[in-house]
Amino acid sequence: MACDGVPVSNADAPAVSVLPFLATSFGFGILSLLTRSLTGVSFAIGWLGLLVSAVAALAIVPGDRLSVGGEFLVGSEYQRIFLAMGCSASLLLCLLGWSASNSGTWQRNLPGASLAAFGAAGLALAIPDPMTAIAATVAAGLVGVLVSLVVPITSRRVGVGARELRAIAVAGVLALIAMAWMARPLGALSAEPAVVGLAYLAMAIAVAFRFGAIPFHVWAARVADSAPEIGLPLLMAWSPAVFAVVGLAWVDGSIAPLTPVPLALPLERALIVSIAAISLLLGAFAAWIQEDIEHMVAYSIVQDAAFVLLAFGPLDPATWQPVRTWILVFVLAKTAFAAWVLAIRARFGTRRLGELRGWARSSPTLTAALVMVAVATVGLPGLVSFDVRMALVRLASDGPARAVLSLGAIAALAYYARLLAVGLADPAPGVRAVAGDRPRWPEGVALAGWARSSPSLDGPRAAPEASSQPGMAERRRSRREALFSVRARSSVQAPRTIQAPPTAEAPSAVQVPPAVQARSSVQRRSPIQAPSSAATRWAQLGPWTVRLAELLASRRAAAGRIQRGRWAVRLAELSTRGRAAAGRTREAAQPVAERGARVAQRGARVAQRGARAVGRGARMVAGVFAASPRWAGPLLDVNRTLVSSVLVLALALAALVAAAGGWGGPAAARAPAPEPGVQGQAVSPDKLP
Amino acid sequence: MTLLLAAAAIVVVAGAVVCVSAREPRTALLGITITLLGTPFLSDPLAGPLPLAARLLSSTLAAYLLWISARDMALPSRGSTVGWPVEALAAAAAFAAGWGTLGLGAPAMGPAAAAAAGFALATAAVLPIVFGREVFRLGNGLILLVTASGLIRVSLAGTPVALEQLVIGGLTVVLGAAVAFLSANADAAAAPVDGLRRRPGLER
Repeated sequence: MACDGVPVSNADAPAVSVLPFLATSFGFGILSLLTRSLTGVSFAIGWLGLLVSAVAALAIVPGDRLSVGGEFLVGSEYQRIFLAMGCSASLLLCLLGWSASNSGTWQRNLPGASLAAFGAAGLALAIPDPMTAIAATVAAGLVGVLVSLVVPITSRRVGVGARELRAIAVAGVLALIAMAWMARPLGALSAEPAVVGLAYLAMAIAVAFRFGAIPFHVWAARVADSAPEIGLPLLMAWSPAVFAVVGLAWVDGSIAPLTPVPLALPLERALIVSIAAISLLLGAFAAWIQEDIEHMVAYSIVQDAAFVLLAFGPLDPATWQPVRTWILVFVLAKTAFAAWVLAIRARFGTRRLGELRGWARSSPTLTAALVMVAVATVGLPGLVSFDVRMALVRLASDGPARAVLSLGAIAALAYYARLLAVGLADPAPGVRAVAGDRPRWPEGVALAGWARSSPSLDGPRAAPEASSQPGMAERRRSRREALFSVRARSSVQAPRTIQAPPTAEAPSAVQVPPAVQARSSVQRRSPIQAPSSAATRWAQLGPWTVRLAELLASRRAAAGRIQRGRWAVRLAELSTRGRAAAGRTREAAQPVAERGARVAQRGARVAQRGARAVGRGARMVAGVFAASPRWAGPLLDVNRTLVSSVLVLALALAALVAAAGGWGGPAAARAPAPEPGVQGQAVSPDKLP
Repeated sequence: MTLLLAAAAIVVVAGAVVCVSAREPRTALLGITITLLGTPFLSDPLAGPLPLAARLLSSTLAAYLLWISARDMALPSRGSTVGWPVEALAAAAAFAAGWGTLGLGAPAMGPAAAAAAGFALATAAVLPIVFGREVFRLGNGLILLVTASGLIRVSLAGTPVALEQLVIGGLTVVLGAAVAFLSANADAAAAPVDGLRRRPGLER
């Protein structure tokens, strides 16, 4: 159900971003379930599918839509965040379950069932029509039945699974009939409060069924008894949460517009708020008195889910934002709490609180995780989780009832405090025997030597002298010299002066060509003598002519010489300058070239070393698989609890961030409540009174 | 059209009565298969060919999944605690009531046959759900209940659109798979749900 009030138009969009998510979640989910007899393969497929689905969920574009079979699939911000959080949390949970469980106790259906359930949830959150959406949420819940059984399978466990199946189916039928009842023109019946009230009550009770609210909690308590703790978030939190989101959207879109008077349907509303109040108080009490910490998780889910039920009480669209924000915090916090229980059981081998005395002294990581979960759940003034819980209490009640509900809201502190108090007590013998959070190395496994120079995987071990102190110092010094030699040489050569090129003197050394002197001498001396007669005039004319010709010739020759001499001088200058520049360039380039050569040499050495390291790494990785029985298995075994604790801490941190308003939860939940008529045929105008 | 719908509704209800009355798992499976296959036809107007095919395919798949768990079942069901005539009469009474109260006081958008069959199926499902001690019988009752709710939805709000038909088909498959999963495990655990013991001589 597109819960962001995104108006659905008939405009056909070419693509929808919801489709990749649906394809990956259903595809990988079915594949993981089909290969479940091959446990490792099924886990790998499921884990990869969760990873891909989380990415695909993040790629959902709000408002994007696709026409399918006469309906629309609509993307929304809330859907995006819900699915991304769900897939990521399941990813960590599966990893935790895989690492914490022995091969016999691993719930092999979990990755596939989670994927299929989130696929159905994504479909439900994308469909605007509430009846179609509720059918998808029922399917999402039914898939969870696959994780309710764990070996050894007994008839009692099967019976619990059957009870769960019954609760999911009956709740779905109630919701579907309530929606169908309102999905037609009611005519005069719409003025009858009982008609609307019955549908409203049926939906609220269906949600109470799904969450196992008190007094519909018997199936939930049994499920907590028999189902693995790793399956509880999917069975009791994520699937019912989607169901509740669809139900809330339907109530806000179909029931609230028909009851505009705030005091309409007082009996039904009082009944719903009463169920929520009872679940709040008795849920906290039931969790507080439990000796089995898995039961504690189940009742804490029942208690916190009461806030979702409380949102059905006011029939006020103002509950839309707080309850949707709370649902995001709730599912993450309960997932982290269930993961914490799994890690505790895996570490200490028991779920009995009496045998877990002193657990907190042994594991600061798990202590921090529990504190984070408690803070995320109950919240502190200023945190989003606290504000939305109090807002729901404020909207649903007034007077003494508000005080009772407020008490219920903080009652969760009781069981968290009890868990911490037990953890800080003197350690029980079983707890004392368990090692702490510190990372450890498996005894008898020489991985440290293997990593440096394993005889089997990295050639022969180096001689002891090679790693002695002087040898190392020598190697270090030579390496330093090799690294810094360029810098040292350049610092010595730097003061060397570069001589000025001879071209600077060249212009002054230019000789005046002799032709110029000749010309000036010709001009100063006059060799022409006066003619004595006409005969000699002609005779003298020849020498003058010859002289003139000589003069002209000598002038041209002088001019040519002058020209050639200038060019020669210029050319000489240029060549001198060029040679000087080339010399300077050579001088300047020489250190750079030397440095470059050294860098290249060094790079080659580094590349060589890198290649050796890669080869060694490849051999190491091969060794991990080949020699895993020798040391990788023991390494994981001795640090299994640490890995579990870190994963729990990550989940708790995610819940805390969500409780502080991170991940965009409040922004996504701030979208307006669906308007009447938006969700398909939920409300038709002629039903409005 | 009404006659055809009425005939289809009678077939669907007959299948449900056979399902809840039979002691033999295979007979019960036959009954529920008839019910599942007949249900998509109880709408006016009829769904398009593609959605109809999807519904029939999903019903067949759900029945096949149930068959996988039922074919090797060593322990026969207890069957109806009140006998098949009582089951049939109760279903017939509910059929008549559903036919007569179409719309429940407001105009209905679907056929009366769907309402009648829905009421009859819901009535037939009550005993297995409330008193069913065997997973297979309880599961069959739940499948009948979900099918009944779908039929009542059709009678009240009209023929579902294609996407809803597809989702209902998926829901049928998932429900069949869940019942088959639990039934197979119950049989493997060699005991009925609430402490009923395996009869001597019936062990595998």
